[in-house]
Parts: sequence; structure tokens; C-alpha cells
Amino acid sequence: MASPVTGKQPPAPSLAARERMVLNLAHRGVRGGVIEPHRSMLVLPEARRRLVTSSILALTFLVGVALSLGPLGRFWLLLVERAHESLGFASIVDVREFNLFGVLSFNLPVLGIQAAIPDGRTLLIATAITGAILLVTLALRGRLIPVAYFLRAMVVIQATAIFYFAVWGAHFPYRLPGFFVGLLTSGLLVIGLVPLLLGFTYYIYDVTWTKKIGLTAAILAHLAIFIPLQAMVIAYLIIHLSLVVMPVLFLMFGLVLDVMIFVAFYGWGMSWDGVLGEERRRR
Amino acid sequence: MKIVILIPLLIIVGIVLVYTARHYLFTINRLFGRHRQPYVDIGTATWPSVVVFVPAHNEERVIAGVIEALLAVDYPAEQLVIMVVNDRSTDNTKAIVDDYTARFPRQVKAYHRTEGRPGKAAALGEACELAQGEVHLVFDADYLPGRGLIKQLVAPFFDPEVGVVMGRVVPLNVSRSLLTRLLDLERSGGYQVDQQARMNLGLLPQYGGTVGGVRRAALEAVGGWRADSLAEDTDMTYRLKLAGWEVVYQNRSECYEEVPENWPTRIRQIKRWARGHNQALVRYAGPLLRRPVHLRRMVVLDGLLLLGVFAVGPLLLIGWGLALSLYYLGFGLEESIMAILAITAYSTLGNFAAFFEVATAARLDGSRERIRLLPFLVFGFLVSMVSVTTGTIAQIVGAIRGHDHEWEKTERYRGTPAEPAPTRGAG
Repeated sequence: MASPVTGKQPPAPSLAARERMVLNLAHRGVRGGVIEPHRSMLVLPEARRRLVTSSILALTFLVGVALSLGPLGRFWLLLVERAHESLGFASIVDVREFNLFGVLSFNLPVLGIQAAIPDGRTLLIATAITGAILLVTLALRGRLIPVAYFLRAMVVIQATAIFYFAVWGAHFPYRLPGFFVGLLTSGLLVIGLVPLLLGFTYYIYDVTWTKKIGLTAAILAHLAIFIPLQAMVIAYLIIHLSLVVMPVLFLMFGLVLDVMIFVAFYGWGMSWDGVLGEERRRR
Repeated sequence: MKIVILIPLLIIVGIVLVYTARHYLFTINRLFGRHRQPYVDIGTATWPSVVVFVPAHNEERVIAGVIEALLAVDYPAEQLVIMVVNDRSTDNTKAIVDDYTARFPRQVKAYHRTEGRPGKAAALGEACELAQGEVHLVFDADYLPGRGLIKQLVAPFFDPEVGVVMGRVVPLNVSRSLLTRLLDLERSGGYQVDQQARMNLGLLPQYGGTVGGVRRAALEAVGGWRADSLAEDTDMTYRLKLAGWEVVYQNRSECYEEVPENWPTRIRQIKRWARGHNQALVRYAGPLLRRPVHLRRMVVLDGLLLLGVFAVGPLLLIGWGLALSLYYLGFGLEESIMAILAITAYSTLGNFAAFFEVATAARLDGSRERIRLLPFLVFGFLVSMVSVTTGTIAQIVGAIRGHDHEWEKTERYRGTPAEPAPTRGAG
């Protein structure tokens, strides 16, 4: 219809806009309310477009992460040096150069400090503490049962470590400097996996681009700060408690913790409303 | 030495990755795929005669609720019989049921068992011999079927190839504890995504023993319920599928149930499921692998993966044991970037697929805020993994010693013990 003021015809809506209008009308009840589809029938429209755009965004972030490895290594060096000073480590912080597929090179900090192999007294104390934790788990009942299971998993790993050091102590294949770098490189791999995982499990959803980019940036930023500090805390504990705690710290508070941080962020992002939900409410 | 440990570890990682791929495929299909919900909207038809079985063992807290709900459904009354199978109850269940049979003699029947093999399968087997009806539905005593549910569950049987139908189970007591919230998330993933995707892809949805039922002709064709079955639902799913009947899952046919509110009950439930599933694995893996001509390869693969789902827990524990051994032997971390990559992939992609599935399901369900509990699922997984493993070990030891399985009932929570004088007047 022409405008009564200007006499001009309004521009014809695009095909996509017309499709949205028809869809809108199709979901209207006789009184104008919105007929929501039953949850068993909800699907995401435009699968191909979503998969393509998700892949593009994931690849963009992946390239961004790869290009940031150099600055990230320098940032981690800075953090480690500061923490190193604060924790009073009697050593120097060195750097080790890494090369990614022969294309990208970057440096990671290395701690120049060794941790002691546990002696007999340390192993006895460790055994006593491990036994005490096991006894505590036997007292945990009701809603604390999952905590008991988690502590028992720790006890099992710690018991294997005590046994190993009691029998083959000197043959333990890891030393603190290499372990520290290992924690940082595995952390880098988690950071590299973040865009790929989100690409296939989050970007496909109907959340806005701002939210997708914001969530990715939040996870990457959090891990970028957390991973070197986590490595420093683990190193601090190993230096003061000896290598006997290295297995349990690596297996239960290393990579697994990083992944759980990602899962927590992912859960938070998945709880955000999507475009389709917002549109439905507006209707 | 390292290679001796590495090979089985890689096999386990390979199996885990197959399950991972399955989770991703199912979730993507659920989000973008074409949905199959056959005949779910039929409202007017010549409805077949239906017997709804309600197995009950000491269910005084909940039995009146399910009978009341079934009496209120919109299925033609002359075609519907409610048969409560009172399996050796020692509480007030018998009195409550008898009260209903006295007031609704045509609609409500009772079969009181006082002896015989314990367990749902045995009870159903005996009760079915006494019942007529073209379709036999089953509801556990703690379920609350909605008004239109019976029609929705019966409608797929208009297709003569359909032998068994399953509806969706939705927890009623979600807000009671962290555990109930986590179980809601798990159930959501299992039904909203997993079952529906298998239905969409023409694979093998599972009959879950409640909120569903079987065609009597199909039941008789495969020899009825097996009294020695520990998981009569899984057992029936595979027997019917192997015999050429179709299994239908109706995602829209929702029914509320009580989920365990405390961890000990949950652990007992998981162990019971594991024992039943393992028994089905031993019984039906061979026949599936021989692949009857009517089964596609993908159906066989899906059937095997479904049968093996409770074997993954022990496998994962073995995998972690092997990984720990390799760690002490000095494989990885400092020496090999590939080992770190493998461990990273194992602990992220492998586990993350399940989170993706659950989060997707909860989002589709509109339970968005509950998705924030996602990290806590790890505790649920840990408890399940250990429970399944200990349950499996106990089963193997029991089988070697020749011990019979002892039936365990799931605890109920709703209200206080019910009075034998329900609210509904005689009809």
C-alpha cells in the first residue's frame, strides 16, 4: 500500500523476510497468541547454513589462536616470572622454543628447579595421609557419596604413586622442568581445541554472533590466565611435597580441570537464550 | 612392555571414540534431522482393546496415583482394562488395589502374586497369561500418565509391523536434590536426543519397560516375557527386533516418573540396570552379529553399541588403569607430543560428546538454567562408572558361584503411605 503522506510504495520485503512473516502467521492462534511447537518437535532450521558459518567461525578462531601463540608464550613467561618471585622459588626461569608444523615458532617458560624424589619418611607421611583420606571417605554418606568417590579415585592414584616410589623411586621418568612444560603444552592443546569444540557444539545454535564470540573469548582468556598459574601451583606443591604427589596432581588437577572449566563455560553459554526463543517471545 | 599396554589402551580409546561419534551423530540428527513420530496425532479411530499392566511390589505410596491417572485417560473405557500385578507386597498395596477393583470391577483388575520367581519379568509373564487385549501396555507404579497418553502409545500399533512402542520418561521430582536435577539432565539426553535420533535414523530405539508396551501377537510370537530376564525391557526389544518386528519411540508421549532422590538408591538402580543389560549383551550379541536378513548393518551396529553401553564403564576404568601404567613407564608428557594429544583427545572429545548431547536435550526441553549444572555431571558419571563396574564384577562372580540374582526394588518418595480410600467415586 502507498504511504498516505509521501504517496510512495514501501520497498517489497525480501524473500527471507516474507518467509519469516508466513512462519509467524503459521504460529498464530485465533486470538493472535503464539502457538509454541511441542518440545519433542523442536529443531534448528537452516542446517547447511549453520554448519558452514559455524565452521568458518571456528576456523577463524583457530587461526587467531595459532597466530597468538607467540604473544601468549610471552604473556605466560611474564606470569610465570611474577609467580616465581612471589612463591620464592630458588631458581631461574628459562624459555624453550617450540615449533608448530614447521610454520609457527613460539617460546614457553621452563622452571629451572628440581623437586626431590620422596625419601622413606616422606612416603610414610604420604601413606598416613592417604590412609586418613580413605577413612574419611568411609564416613562420607548420603549426598556426599560423589565426593567420597572422587576422593577414593585420588587415594587410588596416590597409593600407586607411593607404591611406585617405594619400589622404583629413582626410575621415575619425569622431572619438574619437563613436567612443567608438559602441563603448558597440554594446556595449549586444550586452548587450540576450544574453537573446534565450540564450532561443532555451540556455534550451530541460534545464539547471536556477539554471544558466540563473547563466550569463545571468555573461555580463551580464562584458560590463558589459568593454565600458567595452575602449573605454578602444581609446581609449588611438588617442590614442597616431593615428586610423590606429581601423578595425582597431573591426572586429577591438570588437564581434567582445564576441560571441566571449559565444560562449565559451555554450560553457561548453552543456558543463554537464542534468537529463535527471543523471536517467539516478541511474537 | 609399553607396547603390551599401549595396544589394549588404543583399542579402548577406539571404542570410546566410536561411542563419541555416535553421540555427536545422534545430537546433530536430533537438531537438524527429519523427525519420525508415526501416528502420534490420531484422535479418532477404531481403537484396539488394551490392557495396562501396573507391576507393583510394596507400592502403597504411589499405587493409587497411577490407577487414578489411568482411570482418567481419554481412551474408550470399554476397550481399556487396568491390571495391577501385585507382586508379593507386604505393605498396604493389596488393600488399596482391592478397594479399586471393588469400586471399578470392569476397569480395574488385580493379580495378586504370593509366590514364584521374584521380579517384574516373572510377574508380567504370569499376568499376561490371564489377560486379553490386543495391546499390552506397562506402567511402573510411580508413573503418572497424562490424559491422552494411552492413545498416543497405542496409535503406532495401527502399523502391523510395529511390535513394541516406547514413550518418553520425564522426572517428576526434579527439584528435590542435586542428584534429581542431574538425573533429569541425563534422562533428557537419553530420550530427547538419543532415543529420538535412533528413531529418526531407523536404528534401534529401546523399549524401556514402562510408558510403552507390546503387541500381544508379537509377544506371543517370541514366546512371551522371559521370567529369568534381569532387564525384561532390553530383552524384549532385542527379541522382537531379531524376530522382525519394528520398535517405535514416541518422543511426544511423555509420562512423569520418580527418579531416585539419594545416591544409595541410584547406585542400586544402576547396578540392577547393568546386570540386566550385561545379561542381554551375552544373550543377543551373537544373534545380532549373525545378522538376520531383515536387519541393516547400521541397525546391527547400533544394536551392538546399545547392548555394550554398560560395558563402557568397566572399559573406561581399565583404560585409566592402563594409562596410569603407561604414565609410570614414562610414556608421554615429556617425550611424545602425540601421547599428550591422545590423552587430550581422550579426555576432552571423548567425554565432551555426552555433555553436548545432554546440553542440547536440556536446551530443547527449555530447561536452560539447569544446563549450568553440566560440570556436576562428572560426579554422576564417576559414580555410575564405579557402580556399573562393581555390579558387573558381582554378576560375574555370582555366575561363577552359581548364585541367583536377588531382586531389588527402587525406593519411592511421594507423600506418606496412602490410605486405602482414594478420592474417586465409583464409576
